[in-house]
Amino acid sequence: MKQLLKLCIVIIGAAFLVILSKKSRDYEWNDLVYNNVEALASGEGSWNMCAGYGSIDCGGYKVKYKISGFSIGL
Amino acid sequence: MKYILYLLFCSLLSCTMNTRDTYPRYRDFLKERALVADVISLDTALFRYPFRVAVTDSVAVVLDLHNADHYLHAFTYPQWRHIVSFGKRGNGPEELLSAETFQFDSPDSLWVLDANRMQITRWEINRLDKSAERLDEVTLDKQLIRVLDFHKTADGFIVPDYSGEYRYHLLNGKGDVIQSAGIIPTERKQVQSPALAQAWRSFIDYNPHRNTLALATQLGEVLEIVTLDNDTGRVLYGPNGEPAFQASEGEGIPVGIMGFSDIQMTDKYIYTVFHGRTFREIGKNMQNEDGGRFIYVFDLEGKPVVKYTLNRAIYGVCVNEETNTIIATDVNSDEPLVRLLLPVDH
Repeated sequence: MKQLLKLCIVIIGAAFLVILSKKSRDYEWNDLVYNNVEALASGEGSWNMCAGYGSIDCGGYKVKYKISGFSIGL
Repeated sequence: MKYILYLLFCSLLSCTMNTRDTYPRYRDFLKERALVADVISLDTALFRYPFRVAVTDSVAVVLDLHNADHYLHAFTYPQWRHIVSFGKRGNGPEELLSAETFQFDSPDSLWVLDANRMQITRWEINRLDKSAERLDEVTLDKQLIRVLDFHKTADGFIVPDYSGEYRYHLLNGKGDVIQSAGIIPTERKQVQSPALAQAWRSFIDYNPHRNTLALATQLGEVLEIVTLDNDTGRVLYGPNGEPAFQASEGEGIPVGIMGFSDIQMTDKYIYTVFHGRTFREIGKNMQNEDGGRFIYVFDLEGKPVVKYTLNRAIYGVCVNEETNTIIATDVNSDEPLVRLLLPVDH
């Protein structure tokens, strides 16, 4: 029974790690994104940035990609 | 011991199950077909980002979202000879700060939404003089905050909500809100907020014969059909689910997929342009094509009828069911206007 309990804890712990890992991948950045990003003058201290020509509404502009600096833990 | 195991199992289950399915899902279409686009030749090269197109009997107009000078370009139809470019970009009193979309009011007159000015203006095109004149101006109610789409109604206009408190607003002819209704049909436990409303930003179309409003989300894959007479409707989630976003600085930051980019409701069907590309893919390569390679057709109850897969990515459409023709815009090409011929048994 103790062995079974240990096994369950290991499985559940592994499952938590998988879930957390998946969520962190949603906000994966790469050098191209950094290079293409232009900071939007949306106020001092704001971390939201917009990039490219597109149709996503971003502070009165229309952009292709919208990102938040908050999501990368800055 | 059994109790501990049960608790651990329930904890794991609750972590993996974030949402409950409240609304019906669509998955398969009755038919799936390929469509090949034919290029429409133009006598002038004008566009940077042709976002919207609409056609009447004799005039076609294209809205360029990222134009150099003018937002709107009128052509003769079906010859596609340039008549006039109008709606100059700028801060001047009769200029447009940020034209979002437009709608024909009559064969030679159209309404244009300027989101940054919070105005809808009416313009008249003169084919003989090759000119366009700004005739009417409607200033939108400030409580709307920001308006990103609209449709003319018999009594005024209908616009989607930006605050997160409602889903849409009915305006009178002066731009004042006379009725606000609906809620964002999210299945997640989220506070109704501007960030949620931004993520749920939807393109709309309105059928005056049925007094019905159709909405398709720009992010995610959700279609809504609302009967305005009694504010009832249907909400349908596609395979990619509701818009995914992160709230940051009061804004909704897209993190899921790019969904729909246009919607048109006729007396028979609802036509939508669907993208499906993830923002992760978009962010990795900004040079990738922009637009949707799918036209999803639903009946007026929201039942998926036909899925068309195209040989190029498009953004805006104008459907003519009498001629079985769709005129569409391609923001990636130097030949940005195309014609799609629908099958006879569509």
